[in-house]
Amino acid sequence: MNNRVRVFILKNKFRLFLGVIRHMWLTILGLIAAGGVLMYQLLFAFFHMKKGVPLDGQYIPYVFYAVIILKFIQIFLDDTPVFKVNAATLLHTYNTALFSQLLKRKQFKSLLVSACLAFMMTYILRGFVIGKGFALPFVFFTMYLASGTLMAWIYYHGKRLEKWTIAFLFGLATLMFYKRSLLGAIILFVMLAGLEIWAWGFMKLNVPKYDARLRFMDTTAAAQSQNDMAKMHQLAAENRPQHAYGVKFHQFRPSKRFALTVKSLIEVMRIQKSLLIMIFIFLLAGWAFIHTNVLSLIPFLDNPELAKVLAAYSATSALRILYQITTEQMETVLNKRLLGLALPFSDAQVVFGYIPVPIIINFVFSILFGALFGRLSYLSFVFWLIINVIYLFSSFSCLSGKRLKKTLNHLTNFLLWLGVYWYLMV
Amino acid sequence: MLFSFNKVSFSYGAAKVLQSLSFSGDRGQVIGLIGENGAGKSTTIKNIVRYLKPESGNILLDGKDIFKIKIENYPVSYVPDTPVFYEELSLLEHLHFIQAIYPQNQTSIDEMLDRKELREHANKIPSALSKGTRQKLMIAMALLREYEMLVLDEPFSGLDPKQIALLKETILQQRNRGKLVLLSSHLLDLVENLCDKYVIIKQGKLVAEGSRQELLSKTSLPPDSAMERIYLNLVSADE
Repeated sequence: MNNRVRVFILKNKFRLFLGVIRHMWLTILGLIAAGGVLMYQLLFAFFHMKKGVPLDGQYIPYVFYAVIILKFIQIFLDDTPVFKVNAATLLHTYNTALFSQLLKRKQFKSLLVSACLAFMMTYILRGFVIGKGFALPFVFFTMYLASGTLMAWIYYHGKRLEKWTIAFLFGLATLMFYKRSLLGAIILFVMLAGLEIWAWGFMKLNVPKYDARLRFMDTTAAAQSQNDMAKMHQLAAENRPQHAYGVKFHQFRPSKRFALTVKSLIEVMRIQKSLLIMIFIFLLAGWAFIHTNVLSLIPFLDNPELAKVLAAYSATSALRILYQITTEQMETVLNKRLLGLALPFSDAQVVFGYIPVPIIINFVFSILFGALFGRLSYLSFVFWLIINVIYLFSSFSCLSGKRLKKTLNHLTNFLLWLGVYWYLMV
Repeated sequence: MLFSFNKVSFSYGAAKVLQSLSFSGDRGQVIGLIGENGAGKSTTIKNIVRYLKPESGNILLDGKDIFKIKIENYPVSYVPDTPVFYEELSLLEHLHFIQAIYPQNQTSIDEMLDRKELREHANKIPSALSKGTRQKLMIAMALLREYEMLVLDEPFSGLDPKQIALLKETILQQRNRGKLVLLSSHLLDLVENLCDKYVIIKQGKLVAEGSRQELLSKTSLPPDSAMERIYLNLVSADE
């Protein structure tokens, strides 16, 4: 393969990666740490694993279920192609021999990744030893993962008949993978070889579909690398599933007095599912810090007071997401005045218009939070009052200048954390 | 005849996009593929650049079926309707990239930078370039390799008058070099006087094919009629 071409492709990839690291290193580090803690907890705290002791037999089927589900998602539900090149690579190399070489390299890499994953899984299942009984599960995992990847590739580009064939093959492969017999190993091997020949010998790529997806992925990667939040929001909006909202503004017949309140209510009702999931995760993490021994195995973090600090931080993050939904919209309305929109409201009226709905949300949050952490009492009412005052402060801080706003934002975060921490302490 | 598109049909699921469409072109010609949005222009082009394969019919280049031509020797250079780049490679690196793919190519990058007035932008990444400059870079990349046929999908959209003039000049230069240029457009005023031949399609079918004069003769319009009127006349007659 032409090495100079590869150098340019890698150069682009490396620069994108550097950009992502530069802007998102904290998030990436956090994710790695969270993944590490989760794995550590799962293996040593939940499964009680030790060197030389294989995983308890009752749990093994769950590992297989997890692998099957992941492969099912990859093949049938994920709309991302498994072998990716840049859209520019597709355009300029498609009618050259380089293109198929690039794709075959991608598949070879994916085969290695499958083998590594299979090795790791078998190593863990066998109790961190390589010995008798290692080979068979390793081979099964490798072949199932690798054939699943090829099936995903063929399914992505395939038409109706190809898709049905892949569905049948996936069912067969899953059965062989679950039964783990010698005959199953042979069938899986033959299937993998057949898929290789199908993918690289006969299959016709659905280039327009592939091209459109690659373009989207390239644009997203570039926006991430350049930390271009506006572009990322735009891409998210453009690629959101198009549907008509059930609840519409005019259905409320709002008067001028309540127009902004109704607007904020609708915005909250149209909240993205991903934000709700994030709120749920933050609350769940906070709960886990206090009510489980999740922190007990990590040096320096095994301290109930520290657990409360972290739980308060988690709950504060959930609250901040809730506030962000309403304050961001409020700021959008305020900014539109700067762009020339003649709003029939003063700035203070805009802020007050956006306050009733968060007050209700705060009430619901106080009750839920109290119930979740076993703090449901008159203190929940006090907590509600406290977070309302902080929200008011946060809302009016939106009217200040850019630099002051940043400082006030940090102050709001701190006050919120203090309020939540107090609630957990009393 | 260098190129012929013979009775090609293609459909996306149940939607028939091309229906037995035929037209042809030769060296030193500029062909305008004309039609409204959704007429099948982009699908026609995607068949020519082998992104799609005809369900029936064939596409010949120099007498050979394009799907039987050795992949290394496919002499069609393509500029899509939406430019696509490596977001972190500079303009100059993009040109070097093309040269790395086609090392046998004779055109020098220096010459291309000057010819396309791109030198001042050589070290900028695509997101720092204007839309017109990005389009110029796409064209420069397409011209940097050896080809017999240049395919341009909606090349004028979003360009300012100066950039349009420059692009027209480039197209005419390619024609004078003996290349076949196929461009799709729905902006008739821009392709008027540029194309030697027009292929008018509607709902994937050929409405008319020929030079402006030949198309005019199929209507009862006065000789000085604009291409837009000729097109509308032919399309409405087909309804």
